[in-house]
Amino acid sequence: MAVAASIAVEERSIQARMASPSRFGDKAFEWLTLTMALAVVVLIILIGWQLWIGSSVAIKKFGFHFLVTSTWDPVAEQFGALPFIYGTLVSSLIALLIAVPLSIATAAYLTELAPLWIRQPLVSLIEMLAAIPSVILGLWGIFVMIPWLRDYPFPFLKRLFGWTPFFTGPIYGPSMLAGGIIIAVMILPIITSVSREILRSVPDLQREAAYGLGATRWEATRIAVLSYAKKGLFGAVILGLGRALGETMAVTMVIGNTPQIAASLFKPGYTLASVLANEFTEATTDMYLQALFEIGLVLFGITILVNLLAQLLLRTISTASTTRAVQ
Amino acid sequence: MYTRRADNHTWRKIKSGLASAIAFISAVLVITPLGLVFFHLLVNGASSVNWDFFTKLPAPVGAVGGGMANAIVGSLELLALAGAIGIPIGVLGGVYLAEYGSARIGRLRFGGFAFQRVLGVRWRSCARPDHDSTDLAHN
Repeated sequence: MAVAASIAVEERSIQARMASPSRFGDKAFEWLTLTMALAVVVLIILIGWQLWIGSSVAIKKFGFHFLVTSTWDPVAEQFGALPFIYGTLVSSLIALLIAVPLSIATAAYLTELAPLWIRQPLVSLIEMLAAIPSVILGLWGIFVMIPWLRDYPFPFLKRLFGWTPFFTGPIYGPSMLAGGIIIAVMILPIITSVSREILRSVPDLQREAAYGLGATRWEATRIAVLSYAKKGLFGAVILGLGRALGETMAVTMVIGNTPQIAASLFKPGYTLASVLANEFTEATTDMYLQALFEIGLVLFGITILVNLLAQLLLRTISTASTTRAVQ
Repeated sequence: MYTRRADNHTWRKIKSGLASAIAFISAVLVITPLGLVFFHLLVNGASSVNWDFFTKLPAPVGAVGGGMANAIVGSLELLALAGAIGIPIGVLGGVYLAEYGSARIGRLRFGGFAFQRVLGVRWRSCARPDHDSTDLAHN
């Protein structure tokens, strides 16, 4: 009896000795990972805070006018960011208009329409495109793409759409349109890969049902796959937009860097990211530096705003579609 | 009646073929820049690549020869430093989000979700529509 009890006690003490350190390790690991997860968020908050601090004097001095005036005169210390905001939004919009149809069509080709043997090589090539550093694309943009655009597609567009305000005036080469095209090249791979993942995750039941009803390949793709994946594809587009808004090096090299707002897409423009990259070394006065920090803050704000709006939109779409779809 | 149906069928098949063709052309257009950039770099850069390019420092302006050893070493150093700082934080943070943090810090996770999208990090998990919808439903 006594022996049994002492064995039980011993067992319990062994258990206790074994259990407590392992639980401690688990806790410690949890805290460690929590700290690291928080570090990402804290980093973002710190960046926002630093931008706010760095631009507080400019914010006080220019107020709301910073966002709606077009003067950018470092000598007279007059700063307005409107041409840069306009340039960022318009170049991203051009990029999306070019890249979204192309990449979704490519993703549909890769998952639904292409012969099996061609799919993997194409996917690898597209992933290689994503790996080209932005500055190399910019270099290629200056020396190859812009001369070609200036000689062939731009005059063609001018002849075809010269009656609209968007394709008028002299053709220099470096222009808002060239900037939009280079951003499109940069966001094509990411929208394509994400869209491909989404289309692949559409259940095969969808396709089987469509083919069972006698649908052609395209009908099955359009009705059963693309419309089922609408929400995910929208997310892919927003991901691309996030990239487009912040794209810096390649755009700076081809957009012409002229702070102006012009309807014609052949005119040079400027983006928020480009003005930061170009001018931060030249910011000799405090107010100049403050204005550049405020440019950064505006870019930061636009990017976060776009993403939050997309999240909200995604939520409304998902609630609307779950009430309709039987899941 | 039958002929109309048959016509309709042919038309649908033609449409399907057209759509496939358009999708194929899109795929070609997407990879064209890759080919062009690679071609341009090869044509203009291949002649300057030799052993000196990797092992010597840049020659003064105007002088012949020299290399890019400093820039190559600098890139490698940067890569090592960035990896040493970023990889542990990223991996451990990801482990937390996947293993521990679903219910307790829901709001934060939603915030993190939004911000990480800004950084373009979280593209594997947002690539899954069903996963995404449960995520959004939970938060």
